[in-house]
Amino acid sequence: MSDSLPKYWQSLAERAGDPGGSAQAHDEFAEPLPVGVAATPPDANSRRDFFKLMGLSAAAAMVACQRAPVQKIIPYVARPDEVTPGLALWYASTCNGCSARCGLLLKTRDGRPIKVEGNDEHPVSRGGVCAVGQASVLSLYDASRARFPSRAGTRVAWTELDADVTQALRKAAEAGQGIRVVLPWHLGPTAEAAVKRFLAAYPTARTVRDEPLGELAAIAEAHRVTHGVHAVPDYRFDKATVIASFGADFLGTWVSPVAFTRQYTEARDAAGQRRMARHYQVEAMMTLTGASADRRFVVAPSELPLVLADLVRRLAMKAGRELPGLPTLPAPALDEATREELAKALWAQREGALVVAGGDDVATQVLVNTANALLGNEDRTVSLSAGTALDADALSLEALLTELRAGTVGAVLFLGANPVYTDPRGEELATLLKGVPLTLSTSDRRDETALHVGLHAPEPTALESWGDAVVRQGVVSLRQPAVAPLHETRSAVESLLQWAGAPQAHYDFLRARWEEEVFPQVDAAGLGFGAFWDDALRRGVATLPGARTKAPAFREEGLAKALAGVARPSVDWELVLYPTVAVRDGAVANNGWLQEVADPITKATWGNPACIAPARAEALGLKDGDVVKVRAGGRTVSVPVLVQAGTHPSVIAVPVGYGRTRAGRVADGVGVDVYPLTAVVDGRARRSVPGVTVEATGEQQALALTQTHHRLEGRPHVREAELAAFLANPRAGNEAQSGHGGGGHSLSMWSGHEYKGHRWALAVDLSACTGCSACVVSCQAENNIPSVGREEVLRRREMHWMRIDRYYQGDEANPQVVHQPMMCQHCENAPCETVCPVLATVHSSEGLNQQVYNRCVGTRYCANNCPTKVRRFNWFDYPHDEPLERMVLNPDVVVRSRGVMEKCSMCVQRIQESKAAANREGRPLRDGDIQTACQQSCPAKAIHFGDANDPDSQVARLAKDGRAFRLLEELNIGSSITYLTKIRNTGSGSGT
Amino acid sequence: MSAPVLIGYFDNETQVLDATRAVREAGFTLHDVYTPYAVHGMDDAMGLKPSRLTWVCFGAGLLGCTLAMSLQLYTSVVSWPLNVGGKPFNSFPAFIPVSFELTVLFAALTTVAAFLVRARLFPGSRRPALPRVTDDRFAIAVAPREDPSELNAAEDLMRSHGAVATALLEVAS
Amino acid sequence: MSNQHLSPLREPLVTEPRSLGQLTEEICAPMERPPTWKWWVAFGIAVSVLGTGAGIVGYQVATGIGVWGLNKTIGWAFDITNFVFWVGIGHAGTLISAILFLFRQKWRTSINRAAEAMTLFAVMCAALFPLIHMGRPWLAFWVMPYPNSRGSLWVNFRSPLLWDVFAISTYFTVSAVFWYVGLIPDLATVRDRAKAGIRKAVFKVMSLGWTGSNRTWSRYETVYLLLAGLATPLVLSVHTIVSMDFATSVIPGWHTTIFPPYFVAGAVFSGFAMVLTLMIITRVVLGYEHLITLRHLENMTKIIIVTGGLVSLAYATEFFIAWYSGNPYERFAFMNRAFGPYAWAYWIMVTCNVVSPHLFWFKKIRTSPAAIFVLSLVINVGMWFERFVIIVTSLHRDFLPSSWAMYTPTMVEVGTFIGTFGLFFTLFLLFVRVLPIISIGEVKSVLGFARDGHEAQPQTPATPAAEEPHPAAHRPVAAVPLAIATRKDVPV
Repeated sequence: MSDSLPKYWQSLAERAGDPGGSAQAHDEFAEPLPVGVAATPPDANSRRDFFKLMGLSAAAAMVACQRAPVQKIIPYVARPDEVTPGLALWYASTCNGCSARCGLLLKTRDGRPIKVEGNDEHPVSRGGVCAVGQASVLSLYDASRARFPSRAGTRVAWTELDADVTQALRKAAEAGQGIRVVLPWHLGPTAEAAVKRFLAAYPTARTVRDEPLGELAAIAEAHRVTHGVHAVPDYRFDKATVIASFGADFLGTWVSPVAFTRQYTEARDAAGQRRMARHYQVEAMMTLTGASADRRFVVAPSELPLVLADLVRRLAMKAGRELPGLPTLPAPALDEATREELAKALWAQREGALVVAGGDDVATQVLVNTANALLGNEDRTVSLSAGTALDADALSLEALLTELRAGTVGAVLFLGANPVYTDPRGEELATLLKGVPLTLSTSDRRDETALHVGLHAPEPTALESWGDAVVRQGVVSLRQPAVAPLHETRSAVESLLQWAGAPQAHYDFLRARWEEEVFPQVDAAGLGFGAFWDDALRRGVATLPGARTKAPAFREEGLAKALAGVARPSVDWELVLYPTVAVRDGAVANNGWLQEVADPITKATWGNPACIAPARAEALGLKDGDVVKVRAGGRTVSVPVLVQAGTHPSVIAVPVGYGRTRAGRVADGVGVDVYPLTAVVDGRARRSVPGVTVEATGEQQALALTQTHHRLEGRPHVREAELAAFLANPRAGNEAQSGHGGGGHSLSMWSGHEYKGHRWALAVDLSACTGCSACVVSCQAENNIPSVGREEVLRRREMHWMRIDRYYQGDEANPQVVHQPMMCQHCENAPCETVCPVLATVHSSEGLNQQVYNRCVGTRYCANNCPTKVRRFNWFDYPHDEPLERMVLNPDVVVRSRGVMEKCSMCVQRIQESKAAANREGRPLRDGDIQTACQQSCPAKAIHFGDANDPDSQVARLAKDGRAFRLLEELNIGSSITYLTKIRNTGSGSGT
Repeated sequence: MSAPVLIGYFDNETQVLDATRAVREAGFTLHDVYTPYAVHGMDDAMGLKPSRLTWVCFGAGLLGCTLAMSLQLYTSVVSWPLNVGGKPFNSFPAFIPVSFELTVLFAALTTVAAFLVRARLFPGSRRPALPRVTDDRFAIAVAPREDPSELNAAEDLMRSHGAVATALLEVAS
Repeated sequence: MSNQHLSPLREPLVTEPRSLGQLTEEICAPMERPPTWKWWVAFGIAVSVLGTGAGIVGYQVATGIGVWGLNKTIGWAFDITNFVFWVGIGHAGTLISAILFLFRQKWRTSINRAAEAMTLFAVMCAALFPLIHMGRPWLAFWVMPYPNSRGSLWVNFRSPLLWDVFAISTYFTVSAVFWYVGLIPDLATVRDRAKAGIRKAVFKVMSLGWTGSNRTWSRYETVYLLLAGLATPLVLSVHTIVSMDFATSVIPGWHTTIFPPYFVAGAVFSGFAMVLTLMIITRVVLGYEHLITLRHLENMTKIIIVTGGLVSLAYATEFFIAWYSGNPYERFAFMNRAFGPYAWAYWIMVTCNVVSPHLFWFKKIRTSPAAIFVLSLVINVGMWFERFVIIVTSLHRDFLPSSWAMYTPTMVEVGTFIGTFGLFFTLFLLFVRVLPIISIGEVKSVLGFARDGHEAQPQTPATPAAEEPHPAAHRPVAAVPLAIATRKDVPV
């Protein structure tokens, strides 16, 4: 990995101490950098490009709302009515980053989408967005995207391509050869309709569903077994009183993390509801979810189904039910008492209990369904009736391969799927494709799969195209473009319709379908479709009260067969391939923001080190960065290890989605591709692989970590309490320590400055924060923070204004974890201000600690004197000069030049904007008018911003709360950030 | 000055001191004495009063201190008061170091300047030095009173005190 | 009345009999003869090092400080370490001149000129770092309070960095003036020796028309005394203010009230070490053993023992207070210094600064120039590490463990540091060539100092110094106290 990594020249210069090379001085990052770097010198006609593209996108913004196909660039002098220069336009839309389909608001300035925010009106995601959703706006401007349709890499016209395709399809159909459309599971009703229309047009056509992480497939399959429906239920963590998760990272990556995070925090709002759902997590490796769990148990992956089966047996016993087919399995590793406690806890709550499991093992999911059925929580914490059905009669990838081997396939169309990269059988697939007359991919770039197909019909990104999605039974989310396609792309829906011989614009098709199928379901009292449609467009979502189908009953017939496979392998090493919160399955890998945001647990950036348990590492004499060879199923991959607390000793866990070869300048060669290690068990890809071998190579490879010390050293920066203790005493765990340990006895020789009017402050609820890092990316997007690349992160120079500190306590085999969002504390007596010789950082009349970039001469004294080390220095000119990628910059925020200090400004541009708005409307500023970027995107709503001088504001109230504490009070810095103690519900009784 | 002065050369500090004292006691006007290094006791011998440069130094110091303090107060309190680290606009203690430095700076530079002016030392000065007085010789310059003949008396006096040579010449005062 | 003091107890300051004329000859000789090959070699090396250093600095300024090893946690390391190191070196010069002058230590006369020159050069090296450590050095002038069109936006007089600006510039200016004033009479001497030509012309301008007039001498003495009186507190203030860069911060390990005296002691300590290094080279290369005598060296080693003791005491006090304060951050900072990842640096510092000076208790070592030379280098190394330890170990692990980090210097930083030595020695080598490195006037005045019976006699330059003894009885004994009491130029 290291050799293929971008070699930023200054690292070479430093190693070699080479004083020359000032020639390169002008573009430090001569080679790929996350944020765009112009191959040409920075200023080369960038201005002109800027206006061109601005004009184009301005036109686009108009197009987005009124249907007029516009291809030509409109000079900006002819200003579209909707666009007022300097004012943002917001479009409600739907995220396409994963299968969760959260509601979005797209912020466009002068026609350019520049920021993604959560849609508060969206009933499922409710205003939250994850890191991936935030970053989708950068992917829009990804310079590595395909810009035109192509045949074998050479540009062709759409008409030409369509001719080819239709001809080939006809031929295949006539010859009775199979036509296979490879798709992800979730396309949205409209797209599915288009697919159906396509299938109808070609009798030999069938769908193949493939998703890199087989979670949805496994869940749906399990429900086929236990309930007879091929669907994914709707989980309601907010209604749960006890949660048992078996390796499901539902706060991080599982099914619908944003929605679940919000529900989870509501179920655990100890301060508000005086109660808190207890969360048990049984898992093999430290996940984001496990980090928030009250009780966390570490078991080997192969043990999980056993523990689950044991739980089911105990529940069945309590339910007094006899379950045939529950295999008699060897006793799981987890000790008797714990297993009984778990069963008791769940049984005690019954309908409030919720059992979920991650991974792609059907048997496990079957056990989960059984458990939930025994608990009888259907329609309470888990609702199949509100769930979403998945294409029941789709072929599996294995089936496709068999057909391909048999040579009975005449056409394979990949719609947004990239199996050549994501599947262990990818190589074979690639070779087999050569024999197929028509192969086509619609991926947004010429990715690994597109490389092996004949035709490439690139799709626009979600921000450029229409679409819809069913996020829950009765909730249809609408996706509208915020800009016309930047490139010569066409949505897959339009392509399918075209090839199906019923060409229709995506918009028309969508609108028509809504008119026919969605509108009838709404009791739009009297108002016509037009009004309904406009409203749906505005709100981005439509709720349909339509009668819910009764959930099919649980049936136990299938159990025995489904569980037959469950056995306990005796193994030394087990490989776990997992998605990270940021890069997920790797589809979004070519995105600087997502590569650079530190993994919430490992704190790793720009790579996928393999997590192993401290004990195991010690036994093998391995330390961070030691490269090991992992051999599985005859394939070997070399990957650096990272000693990760809370990992099961037999586990080596490696993130997928790295080591891309055709993703683009940012992702190519970053990390290692471990997909090939995936096991294939009777046709299904399995990302938990027992029986792998791990051997040290003796090589070393530096890990780009943003945090290298993980213990608090007994310092009171984070305070927490046990639920019981907290209910008894709201100040539990937050008793002001005397002396230097913390607590405030601030003596001052003078009264201090007065803050008339506003005084801005933040409050961060450590109890709500799960560490998902959405805020970090949101901050980066809002404030034009550059991604600096692996080499710079290695030198501890990441530029994030906001970071999430993660600390461990207790046993490193299974530690307690706490996340602490850390940003500028805007101290009243800011140490940084006093030491700046040129007054480049001073205090505003509204209590903000301001950094004046153009006055800064860069002595870095302020950063040295910052007790929380939140200031960031521009060591080089971190480039923002790739013409296309520069379009994402927020015009309200200065782009900092080399040699100046920068830091969190509490989104002062948003403060000013809202103040101006209130002013225009001649009303006082209301609490909540202003939302900082981090606050807005937080799925857990853990961050609150407001005016501390307004006694009724939420921050003012929280600041008086018993849980409130401030950092380093003994220094009398007078931090403006209030932290609220973390409450745990471990049942251990005593607070910490 | 135009009238020529009588120069007496000596090789030895002891002699030049005695001679100087003698010349002055004899009532001659000492134009000046030239020595290769600061000869101690010469001031008494010539009857010079202590220099007043010390007062210049003191005054300049005061001035420097005042200017420094007022600059800091003006800029931080009057001209553009800014809330820096929650400190008062007039953070007096923080202003002391700069005030001290400027005190010293003013005092030193002014004193030296005053000295150069007073001693009429400046680059490009054409004043000639007597032979070897910057090396190993000492010289006494006696200014004639109204009657030039008296210089002879002075010359004898100096020779009697061990002058190795005497000369009459113009010396820039 | 004689210049010579009757004191059989005193050792002569000029060990061999010399006449005034010979002194002039000897001291001026190096500047009048063509350079030796040794000088050329030394100069060549110095200049090439300087050149490399300049190149590296240029590269860094053109590229960005990113070429240094600093990071989000450690914003200062080599740069400010070198700055404090050089400022420290710069202190002995003016200190020897001024303080020893006020304390009437007349043995200073043969070393003060070179020491002052050293001060100036060291301060030049030091001043480089605050400049280039800035992110945007081309805007460095913004630290000056001048009326401007930004409001006027002034500077922050509360910032220790600003105090530094004033302290360092004042220190440099005053030291330069002090040095030049001391030079004037000697410049005149050189002028009068020079044959007509460019050399004469130059020195004519530089000597400002000095004639040796006693009226001028008299004022000159007053001014010199005043300057010495001003320079002494200045020397102390400068390093006090430098120490405030750290003392006024909130960072554990920096935030301590002991820093001013601690830094001043350290500065004198390292300064004297550096003076010794240079003097030992100079006296050998230029054959000044009789002017810069063993006694000079020995006296300086004694001062080093004392200041070394002060520094050791400061180390101990810091540690004790860290524990005694009960402040967990302070405690951690110091334990981390001694036993953390940078412990090696800490123990180098202790060995060099606390242990090595005590070797000077041995007469043998104290009187062996070779041994002194080695130890002086050791002490300089130790003092550099002191600053490194203070800066880096305090920064790299402060309040929030999440941002703890490590620092490793890059070749660019090391190169810059070495480059400053190039600058320093280039200037010093030029100095010994073009100016009298020993104050002729002052040495003359102490010529026969205490050499009982040896007196510079009337003589013509042709004949060498005649040493016919003058019986002490010749002189009125009563005159002696008077003489001692009233001398100005060469205080007893």
